[in-house]
Amino acid sequence: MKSLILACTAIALACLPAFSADKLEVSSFSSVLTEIAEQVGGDRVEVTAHVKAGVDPHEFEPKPQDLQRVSTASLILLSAKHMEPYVDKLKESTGAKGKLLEVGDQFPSLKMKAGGHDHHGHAAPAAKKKGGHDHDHDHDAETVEDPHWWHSIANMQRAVKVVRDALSEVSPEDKKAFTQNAAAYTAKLGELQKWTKVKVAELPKDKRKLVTSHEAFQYFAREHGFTIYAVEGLSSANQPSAKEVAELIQLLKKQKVKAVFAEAIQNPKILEEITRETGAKLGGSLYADGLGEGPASTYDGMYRHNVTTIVDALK
Amino acid sequence: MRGSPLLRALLSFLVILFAGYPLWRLTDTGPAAAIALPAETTVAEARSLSIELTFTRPPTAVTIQHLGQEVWKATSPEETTEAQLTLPYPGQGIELVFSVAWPQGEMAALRASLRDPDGQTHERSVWGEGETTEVLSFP
Repeated sequence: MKSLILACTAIALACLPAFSADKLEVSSFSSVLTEIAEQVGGDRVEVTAHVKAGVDPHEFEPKPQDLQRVSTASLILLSAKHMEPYVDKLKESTGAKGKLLEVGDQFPSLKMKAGGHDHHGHAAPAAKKKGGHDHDHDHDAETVEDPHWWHSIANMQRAVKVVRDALSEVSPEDKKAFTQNAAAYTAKLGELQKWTKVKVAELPKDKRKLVTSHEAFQYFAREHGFTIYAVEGLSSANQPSAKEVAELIQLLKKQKVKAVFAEAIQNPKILEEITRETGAKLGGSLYADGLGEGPASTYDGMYRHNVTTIVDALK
Repeated sequence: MRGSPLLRALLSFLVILFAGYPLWRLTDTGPAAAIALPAETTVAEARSLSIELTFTRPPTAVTIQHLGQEVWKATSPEETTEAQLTLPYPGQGIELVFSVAWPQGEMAALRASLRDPDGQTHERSVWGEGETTEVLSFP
């Protein structure tokens, strides 16, 4: 009997590393895509979050250990729409093994001004040239693709399908599980969309004016009927000119906007100064560039925080 | 410098005037072309609205909310019920949140037919099962 137990234990222990090794390795360079990969992949995948929640993706540069991890991954997820200027490094390091998926490039883009986004490293044509991208840039001299696609829940649902299909391609035997997981997560996003519509309906249509420090919320604005006013140069990297500040003050007064919003990763000091001049209040911080920390470390939490902050401040 | 002091003063004034205009243009804080200012916020007056509700199956309860406030409510309404509301109806229309509680087990629908202050009728539908909440936009 003892020998039987020992044999069973030995077999079980031998199987453990095999299960772990069987898991699909996924590398993610977006906190939002990390959540999608974990939700869709379930226990079939092991996701490495290179850009963690609360980290500014614009400031992120992959380190040697990131590249090492990427080289063994079966699937590499990028937010794209030119969000990751280091994409060539990743392509070189992956060789032919992993499938590199630029998720945001799979659905339509809104445009944003190039000038206000130099700090992204993906915006100005000159900056891109320095980065050495070899893929096609769909923009003209003044506008670039807005990379903040995840602020549209409809885009999130599209991204879930893209990730589901990519995982199924890499591991066809798990297709059924990926499909079920994707359907469950899509349904959760549907609930979030319903909640958002009800919350936004608390605001009269003529108060749906979103003044932020850069154009990160265009996808959100289009989906929920907001007009967005982003003032260039109010990011942590660029100081606004006196003319830009004066324009914003005039805009706020004319539109009777009750609040302006800072972004969680950026410095709100300049907005605080503007609100002092106008009487509009600082509506709070929004998560513009990905998931945050604490309750905002999930997509649902991040989105509910942003919607509640916006609606409650503008009422 | 010769000439009458009055003439000299006039010449100085003209110089300041001509130099002042480009300076004013350079420092003007008027709206930039990039930011188009839409119409200012206006407050719409409260007006009388009539909504006819038709259910495929009578619900156990139905409420209507406007701007986060409950403005109408009925318990076990008949298949066709009329709601009379007094609400602001601005040019861009309004959104109403309908919460309907149907018995579980079967899909049901509600048709809301709103007659606006100008006499125009706008129809919208809510489909659901059990507790259903949906935002309807009029017009």
